[in-house]
Amino acid sequence: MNDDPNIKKASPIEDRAAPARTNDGEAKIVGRFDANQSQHIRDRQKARSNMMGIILLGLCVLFFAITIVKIGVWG
Amino acid sequence: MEQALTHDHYIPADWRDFWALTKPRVMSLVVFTALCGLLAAPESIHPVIGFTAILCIALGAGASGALNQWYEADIDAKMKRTEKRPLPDGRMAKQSALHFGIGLAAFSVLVMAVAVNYLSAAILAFSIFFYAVVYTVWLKRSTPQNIVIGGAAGAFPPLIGWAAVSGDVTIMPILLFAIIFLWTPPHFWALALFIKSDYGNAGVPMLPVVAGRRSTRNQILYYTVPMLFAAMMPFILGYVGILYGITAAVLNGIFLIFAVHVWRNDSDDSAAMQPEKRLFAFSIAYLFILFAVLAADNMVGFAKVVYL
Repeated sequence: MNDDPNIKKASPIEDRAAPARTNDGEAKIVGRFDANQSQHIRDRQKARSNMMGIILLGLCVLFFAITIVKIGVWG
Repeated sequence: MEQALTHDHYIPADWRDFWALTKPRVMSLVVFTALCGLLAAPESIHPVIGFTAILCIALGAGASGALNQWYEADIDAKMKRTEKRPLPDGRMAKQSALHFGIGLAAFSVLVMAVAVNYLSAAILAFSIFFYAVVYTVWLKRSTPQNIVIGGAAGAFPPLIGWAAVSGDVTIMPILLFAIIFLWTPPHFWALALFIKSDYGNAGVPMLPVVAGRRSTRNQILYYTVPMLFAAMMPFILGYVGILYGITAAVLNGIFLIFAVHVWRNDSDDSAAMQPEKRLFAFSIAYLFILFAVLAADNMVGFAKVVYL
């Protein structure tokens, strides 16, 4: 199923763009990519990070509310 | 780090692609029927816990959708309706979809167990397993009855909603389960009739592909009749009031008329399949209205008897 010819293969990062970081956090560039592609990836990572932040914040609020309900403060 | 980057690394998928993996439109119907099951239950639930239960059901449905798309990427790539999904379109690595599906499934079941109750969590876990494994992996590619048995997966949400409130399963939630279970074949076979070539190209043994359109139209009518009875049973048994009874009778009448129109249609041309398209569209409205009225009926207190 992985090799099905009908499925377009997602582009390996080294072919299109590869913003990466070393273990000490410095930006590390691997592979061929241009400025637009780099920007595209950074934008996407930023959007994902923002979305993850919103979801985590929502879950924090939800779990807090569940806890309050479970200990009986809210009836 | 250097070594890791030499392996297959993919441009991170957009968060909208993860959202698309959850099949949001299917999820909306799941959330709605679950909410109706929750509201139709005879007891009350704290709004925060009720919200959590619905959220978990939605996440469970999303997990099922993601696992389904992970496994069916090859089929999806062959059908016009699904070829633009994130996996067949190459916007996401398959492994990401698998991890996302498993993570979401585990999270939804765990939160349901901790915050709501174990029974609803167990039914949720079983429904995810049923859709992702029994239907997707086993039935869909092997039998034209895939929709009939697999329809059970979509019938669980009101049962879970009910169990989240009451902590048990009685006759009424089983009737809700039966309504969706029996509704699924006419709904999907009406769709399959006018997109038969798509399923045929993908090698999915949907009934119109395997048994032909005549047989499918007969089967639609055969399943419609018990569905109509199931829809009336809550009223006949006195679990709901006259509001539901009248609405169900009217909706049943329209559904039966549309099903008979489909049964009388002999066309093999998709362009001439207005009865099938009409039945498919109405079947969605049918379920929405029926469950909405069921919940409304219970909330305004028309129910005549104490629930068993």
